[in-house]
Amino acid sequence: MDADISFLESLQTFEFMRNAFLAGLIVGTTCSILSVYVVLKRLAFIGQGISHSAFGGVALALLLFEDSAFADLKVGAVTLSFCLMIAVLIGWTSRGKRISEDSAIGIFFAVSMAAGVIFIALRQRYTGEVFGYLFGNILGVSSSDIVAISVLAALVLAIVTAFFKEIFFFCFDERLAAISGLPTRFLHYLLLILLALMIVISIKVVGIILVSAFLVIPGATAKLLSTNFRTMLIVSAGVGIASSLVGLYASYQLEIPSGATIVLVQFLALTAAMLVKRLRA
Amino acid sequence: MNAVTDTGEGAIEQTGDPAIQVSGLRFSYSQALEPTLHDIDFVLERGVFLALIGPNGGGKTTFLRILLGELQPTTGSVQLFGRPPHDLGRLRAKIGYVPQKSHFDSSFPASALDVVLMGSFFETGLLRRVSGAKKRRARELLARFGLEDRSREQIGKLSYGQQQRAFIARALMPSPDLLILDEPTVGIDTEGQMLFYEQVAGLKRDFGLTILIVSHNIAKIAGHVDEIACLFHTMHWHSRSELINEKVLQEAHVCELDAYLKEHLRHINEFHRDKE
Repeated sequence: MDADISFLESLQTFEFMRNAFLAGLIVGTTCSILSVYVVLKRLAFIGQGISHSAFGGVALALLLFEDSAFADLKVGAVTLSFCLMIAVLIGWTSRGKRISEDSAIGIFFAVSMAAGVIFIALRQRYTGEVFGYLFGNILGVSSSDIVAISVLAALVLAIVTAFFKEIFFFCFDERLAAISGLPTRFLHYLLLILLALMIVISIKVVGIILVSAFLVIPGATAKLLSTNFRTMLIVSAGVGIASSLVGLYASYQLEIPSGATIVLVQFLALTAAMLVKRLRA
Repeated sequence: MNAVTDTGEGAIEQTGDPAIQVSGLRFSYSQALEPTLHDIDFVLERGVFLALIGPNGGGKTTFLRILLGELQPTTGSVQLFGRPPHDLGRLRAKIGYVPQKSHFDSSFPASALDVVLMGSFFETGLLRRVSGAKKRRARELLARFGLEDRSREQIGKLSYGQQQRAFIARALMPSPDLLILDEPTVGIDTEGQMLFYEQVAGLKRDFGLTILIVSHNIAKIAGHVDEIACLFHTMHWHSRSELINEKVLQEAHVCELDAYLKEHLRHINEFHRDKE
């Protein structure tokens, strides 16, 4: 299928294309950095729990504030608070002994989505745009969204940088880190809060369901190719950036949904890494 | 070894407290169960190399977890350098711990040097980078354990013995005064074990360390340690500052055997009682 104008021309011409491009790049990069920790600390399922729970937050926010002034800001704030709350709740439950961590996640995940479905039904109107929250709508990212995404992404990266060595040790061996005197309880919650922040940033771009891929595949790919932590971070960021660029380009050329395309490109990168690893061995 | 300076919490050289002091310790995982540990009075003076032996299931690991502040005693008191384990503050850096098996993922992207440097993170503090001096110290420690050529190697790719030595180097990073090793020679061949114990004894000599080593293999370690204690739910036997000779060794064996037999007899008695 031939596009009417080229990808580069469209970037020059249309603001929404530039926004989409920037959003994809920022989210792709930040998610891929965080995915290193998700993979090493095995937080993939917790990440899924938080992201699916976000649906409840989005639906609640839409029900409450959809038609009010500054609707975008309010919806964002409610979703963020909801996700942070779920992250802390999951973190708290997983530290206790009454319910196992995977059960807790499974419960929060489903209950939040159930609440979300009811909130959406209560709105009593066309529900088509909810699809955008589930699978992302990168072309709908506004300039003010870009500002919010950039600020939050910078915050995530600043926190990761600030606690770089502690998070590294925490991911390596939590018990030894605790015995050595590191604040492991704080680090546990910090990682979950970072995950929640990252998920909220990504919702508009890739959606609740696909964000899990962004938070796992680049890290998993990098782990196959790296024996050293810094290399793993760099490879993961590289995979994140490259798959965002390739995915956006392919989705433009083929006129297919961008978030899903990026995820498929990430999967191709993972498959290639597995092949490389096999050939090396 | 460096004196502790300006900890703000009283340098340990100034207080005369023993490295470990345990009195009247009792611990049970649940009220319904018999206590895992009971009536334990135990002192480890500074500069002493002690082997803690005892059969599996006798509470050695539980005892260590209490010393490390991971578990709280049900009753009784535990002090390291005069402070309770869960409230050591900066003194925590004075206790080096080497786990029996670190539960890290063998494909984790950390080098031997990275692991050793982890030992300096607590002292370095949040938001600070590890200093060049610490990096030099980490390399020196790796060299001491014959790992200078493997420092860039991924930790999971090293042999078990090499990993264990890297973990000791990690524990030594903050210049501890007390080193606690949990069954460090499991999975190491006989020759490697002899070498290992010699190295640990060397640490005591060179750094003036107090060392507590948990071991099931009394025969190989006996030549190196100053004291032996046998733990089976309670401290059955503790030889203090005696020469470890044949007689002591025999007693240690008897202690282990004795504890096994007692436990076995108890089970048989309970079994018969239940039948009645």
